[in-house]
Amino acid sequence: MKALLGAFVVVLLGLACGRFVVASPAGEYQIKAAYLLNFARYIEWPAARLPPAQALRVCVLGRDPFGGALSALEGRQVNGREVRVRQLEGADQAGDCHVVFIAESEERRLAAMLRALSGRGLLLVSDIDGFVEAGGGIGLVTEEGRVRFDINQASLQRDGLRASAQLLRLARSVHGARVP
Amino acid sequence: MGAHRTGLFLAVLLGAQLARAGEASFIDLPLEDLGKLEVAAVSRKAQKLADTPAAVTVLSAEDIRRSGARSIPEALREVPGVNVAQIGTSRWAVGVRGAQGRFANKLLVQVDGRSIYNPLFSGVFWEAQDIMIEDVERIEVVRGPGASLWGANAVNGVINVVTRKASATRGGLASVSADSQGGVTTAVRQGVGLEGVGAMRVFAKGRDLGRSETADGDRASDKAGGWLAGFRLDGEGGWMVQGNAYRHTSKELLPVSIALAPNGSFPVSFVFEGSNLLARRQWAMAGGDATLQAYVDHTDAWLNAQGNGKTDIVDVDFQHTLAPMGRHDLMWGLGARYGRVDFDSNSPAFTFQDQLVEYRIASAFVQDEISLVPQSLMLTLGSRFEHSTLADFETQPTVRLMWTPTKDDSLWLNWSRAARTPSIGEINANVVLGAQPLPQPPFPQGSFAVLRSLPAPGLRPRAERVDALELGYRRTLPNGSFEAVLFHHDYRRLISPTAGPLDYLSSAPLLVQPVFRSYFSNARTTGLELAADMAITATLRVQGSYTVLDTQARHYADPVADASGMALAAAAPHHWASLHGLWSPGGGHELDLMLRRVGAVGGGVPAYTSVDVRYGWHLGRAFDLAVVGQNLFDNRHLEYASDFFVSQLSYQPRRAYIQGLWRF
Repeated sequence: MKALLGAFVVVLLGLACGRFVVASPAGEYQIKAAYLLNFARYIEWPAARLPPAQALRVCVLGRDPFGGALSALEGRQVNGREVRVRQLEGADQAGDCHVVFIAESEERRLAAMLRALSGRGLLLVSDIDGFVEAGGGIGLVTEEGRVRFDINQASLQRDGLRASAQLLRLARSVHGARVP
Repeated sequence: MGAHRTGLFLAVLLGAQLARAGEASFIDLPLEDLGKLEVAAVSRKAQKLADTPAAVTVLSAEDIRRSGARSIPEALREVPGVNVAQIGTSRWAVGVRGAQGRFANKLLVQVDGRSIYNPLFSGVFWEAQDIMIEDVERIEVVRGPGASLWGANAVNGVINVVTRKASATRGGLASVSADSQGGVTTAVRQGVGLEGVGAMRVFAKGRDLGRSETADGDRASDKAGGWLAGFRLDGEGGWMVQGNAYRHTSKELLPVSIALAPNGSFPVSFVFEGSNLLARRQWAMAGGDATLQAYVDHTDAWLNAQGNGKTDIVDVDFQHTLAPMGRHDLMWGLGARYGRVDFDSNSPAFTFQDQLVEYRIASAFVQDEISLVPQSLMLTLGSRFEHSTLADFETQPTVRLMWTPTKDDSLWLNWSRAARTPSIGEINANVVLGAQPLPQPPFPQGSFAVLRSLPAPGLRPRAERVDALELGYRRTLPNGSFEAVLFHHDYRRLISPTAGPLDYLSSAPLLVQPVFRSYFSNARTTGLELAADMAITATLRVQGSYTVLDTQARHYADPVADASGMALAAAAPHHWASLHGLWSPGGGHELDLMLRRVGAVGGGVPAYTSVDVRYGWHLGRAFDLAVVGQNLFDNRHLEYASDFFVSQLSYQPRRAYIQGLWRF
């Protein structure tokens, strides 16, 4: 028992001092960061919203859960555009973003946030439970140890965004799909 | 092995592992491959808690699955501040910050917003609660008063069990598990999408649980089992309807005085039957969000053929979160509840003064989150105002100050006041507690005093009250989190017994000794809760918790009141700890090692250490296998001795179970 407590105290001390700060390996949020880059690749924005050669801005709303994994996106090329990552202080700052990731810290304010952000040509992505059902664009879902995604086609269309056939095919489920 | 050597060994091990943890880049993986990638360490939902000025633990579906828990109390074993003791097969004592017991009355428990707190006995009959654990999305445990939001009885804590939306449980699922005592549990669920409406699931579960053991290793008389069936319908546009029906039985043996029963024990069989229906709708209102929820709940409980309690509850709740106004984030709500309890007993050992009790509760709450310094200092002011026909008008306020000096650190200080309303049983029940031989002179030989618990003459029902202070610190790390919470609870007007005068009018040799219940005693608890969770390598994660608790009850001149206070002070362990190692080596294999140490509890329950192991294997998407061994290095141990309803002691044996889970 003493040994158990001793080991426990060591772990606690380590945590409290913050000495074990290492990049978390194969973490859930590294995979989610990679998804954000891929969504940017397979979504088409209206030309007015994203003129050619303009940088593509990926923004985070709420407490950044990526633990530094998003910085790996900074400066990468997507369809010939440079990616820029930005942390937002509020929904009112989302104006010049293209992809907005809504962190779980915003769950309580989600409905109001979705109303404020929808119809502005933004791709809204989140891992909040029930995100696409609530009207979000793409929801990330961790299921049986794997990260997958749901698409709300109606929300994307309302924002003038076009998802490629490949993206739709790889989604776990597509909500609000309309037969043309 | 000494503590130092273990510490050193661990530090060296960690250092080596950290140096090895090279970072692979997932950023460049194509979309097709991302979905196939196995997540090594699913992070805890600590992120959304970072802004909460309260001691909250969220158990995710993944945490519950990896703990091997088959019931809600079992899943709570690793939460700091929560003390869980198994009384018998399906009977549990769950307490938060002390005040543990089978009828722990200061903890509010809700399933999808429906209270499962029983107004008849003030507490949760865990043996009457079963759930499809595979469809639980998360369990939120709020330690400390939550009354300013959730209302009365959220004195020591609130447990919210949240099940998955029907849209998240599409497809079929079948689960079969068998334990080493011969108990078999089966569950099936089918989820369907309803075009243009939403999604729905239906489920059914049957369980027959392996019995506990007696002190000698014989099978205890605590057979338990039952069934549960229900549905949940989530509609497009923010509405939800769900319903459940169940029947559970639980047997136990009451050792009673030879004076009352010839063989010294009395078999008791509890049967719980019930059904409930809940509807909720969410919509946009004045730039914010509104939620309206209503439910009806019917429970029918039998104690052998002698007692029957029927409880009906109708509850309506409205909540509105306003759009942020400058520095203010405002939220308000209204609630109303009607309850009707009909108790019928044909045993003289257990009677009710009023057979039929109706009560009404009306309440309102308001909460304002004020950002004093943006991103750094936040003040929360809130209160719930509640009127119950079972008690007086109660104001249950809270003041919370939270400082977030950096993105990863939060420090909070709270003061809250909460109330527990008297239960219908407390105000009405007249119960035989037992019998005591009387001294030969002056009483004739073979005289006994029958102890009868009843409300004090002219009792004025008043709510018990707590004032709670809390200081907490939370640190979020890229690979884990750490939390430390210091608390002090000051209780007043706790229900307590006093000895009345011996009733000489009752006929010898059985004389009645009344024990009067009234609300007067005081107690204090002080404690510290520590929790840590961290990913050590890509495949290894460690979670630990430690709680230390001290309860002091005030002394009274009345020997019965004093003894009751001392029993309360000893009812929870002084310390308890848990350590859980989660290893996911890949290939769908999972290995969990769980250690728990729980200190001694009054009433003769010694301290114990338990070691549980779980092995899980995902065979593709369609099949999961789990093998769990519990209490491996101990033949049997006792976790609980009753505080009030004294049943035969049940020892928890070494146990194993195997579970298969199919998705189709």
